[in-house]
Amino acid sequence: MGEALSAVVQRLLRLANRRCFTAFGLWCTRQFRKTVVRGFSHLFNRRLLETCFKELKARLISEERELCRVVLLGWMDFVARAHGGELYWQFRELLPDALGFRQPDGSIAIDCRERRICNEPGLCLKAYLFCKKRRMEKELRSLAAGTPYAKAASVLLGEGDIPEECGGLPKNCAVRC
Amino acid sequence: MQYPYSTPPGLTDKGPFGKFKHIEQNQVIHKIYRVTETSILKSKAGSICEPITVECSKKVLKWLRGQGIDARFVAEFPDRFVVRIGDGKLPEWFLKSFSEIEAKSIREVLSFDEGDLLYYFGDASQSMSPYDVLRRKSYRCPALRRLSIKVYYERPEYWEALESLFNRYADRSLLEFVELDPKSLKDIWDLDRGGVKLALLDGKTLESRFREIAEIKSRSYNGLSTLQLVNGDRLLGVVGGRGEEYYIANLLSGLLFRSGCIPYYVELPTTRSEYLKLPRALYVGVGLRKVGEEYAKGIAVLMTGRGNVVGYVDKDFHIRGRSMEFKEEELEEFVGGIKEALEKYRNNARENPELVVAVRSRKFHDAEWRTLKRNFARRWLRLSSGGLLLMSSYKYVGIGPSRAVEVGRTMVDGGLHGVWLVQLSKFKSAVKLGYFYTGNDATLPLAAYIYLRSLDFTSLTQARTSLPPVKYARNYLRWKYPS
Repeated sequence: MGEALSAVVQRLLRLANRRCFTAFGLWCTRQFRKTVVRGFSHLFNRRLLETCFKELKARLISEERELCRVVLLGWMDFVARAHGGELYWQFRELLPDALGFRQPDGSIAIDCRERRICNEPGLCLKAYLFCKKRRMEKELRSLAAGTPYAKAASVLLGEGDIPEECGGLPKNCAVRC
Repeated sequence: MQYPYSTPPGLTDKGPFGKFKHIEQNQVIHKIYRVTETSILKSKAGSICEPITVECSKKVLKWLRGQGIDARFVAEFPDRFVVRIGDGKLPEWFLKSFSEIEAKSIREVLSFDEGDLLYYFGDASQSMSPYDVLRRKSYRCPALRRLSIKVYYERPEYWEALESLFNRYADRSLLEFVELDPKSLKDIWDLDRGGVKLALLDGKTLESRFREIAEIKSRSYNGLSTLQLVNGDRLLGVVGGRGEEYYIANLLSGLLFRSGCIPYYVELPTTRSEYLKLPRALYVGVGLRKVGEEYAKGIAVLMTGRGNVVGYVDKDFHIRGRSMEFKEEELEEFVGGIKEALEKYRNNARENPELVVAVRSRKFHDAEWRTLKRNFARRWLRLSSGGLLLMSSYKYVGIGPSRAVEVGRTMVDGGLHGVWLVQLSKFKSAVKLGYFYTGNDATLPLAAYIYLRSLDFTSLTQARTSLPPVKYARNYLRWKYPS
């Protein structure tokens, strides 16, 4: 009985640690934004990340509001980067279509070097997800506070959770240590 | 939600994806032709002048009219004629001498049209219609507390009508944010106090005390008037009618805007680099009004690409002259005023607009282009910006809904000069857009017209043809110089 209990406790502790690692990995990707966690991701609870990603993806499919879609994609980006491997490539694959950047001939309708993209905040948010340029990050930080664009920007910059008006953060994505 | 009138985007006008359906109506009543072959014309008309200058076009026009062809020529491009297409066909000799410049769909020219614009409100909500101003929070409001708007009413039934409309159509989230504060109007000069006010006046008062009202109204201008006048009798007429909802949406949007809010943000549905200059351009609307034998023409309103008024050329400064266009010395004086306002904006907003767009209802002339270009489009000047677009827009003839035609384009010193005719889906006639532009994309003025038009928070109707900064400047002159 004692041994069995100890095994369960050990297992729970291990799980808790992996959860902590996962939370830490997710925190890192949100802080550094461009990082793809390689080498460490086997320490994470990848199943947890996959469940979160799936839930975000399901919400993305039914979400029609552009800004909420951007926010969901922002979180999918963090989760995919923390997971690394297959999930990350899956995400990169779906991104141009999800952002509406894919043209009928298969080409991408956006040029990451074009500075004027950030003249339009909505486009700037999407372009940042796709291009991850430092100057776009600067532009996003300068968006007028209190506007919906600024709220979405704070999520992409790893400084905010999915806002309530976009359905809040899915339960499976609230990875805490 | 259903919009009963035809002017705003009604459900019946929407396609399966919520965008405007392009209804092909057989209302094309004018086509554009260019003289291509003068020999047949010569044999028919006897002696036809060449080359086709304005003087020559006048003669050709006279002769065409004599032949029963209802036409006019385009002054900027005198070899282009706008011909009214009646029931009968154009004679063969005409079709051999003139070739048609075909109108295209606006979407074909720009890759989007006005129905594709997205309106962003607060709380990340988006809409295809500006009329959702009744249901959504404003995109941005400087007031953190509740917005209180004073409503002065001359008769209690005016207030009751307004209150009932407001309560019926404004969404709860809006009611929590905006408060109408009613006050009985004791004296007309009560309206001369600070803050945003709505005055519900008797139609007779508006007529009998017009001079005083005009003075109060013109004093309330700060680039934009803080006083909204409403004819109470008209308001009573609206109640119970089909246009109730539009009426209250227009009124509320205007009041929010006058209170410093931006009711919605308009997003251009494009990734085309040239068009992306528009959201961060600075727009200068120039007003013009006939005053006796002269024209008042020096008032200008500065507006950003978000639609907010950020400056104006001093309201006491405006030029009165005999011609509608600026003379050189007048323009130099005016430019000085604009530069000052621009510098103020630059210091406050810390933003250097990549493009300055000057708009008015009267066409710009070569001399005006040269002076303005020298002042605003030279990169080495601190006050200059990257580009300059001069644009004039006024109602013209019908070419068919959702159509645009490039009447002509030519290279001028330092840029492009051209003319477009554009008729948006709800317009009864086309708008003639004349432009001078330092860049090389001839479609930009067209995109600028559609974009700028959508930023008019004081009138949401799809049929409006005026552009907001010009309208604000012109309205000021209207009150300053009441006829």
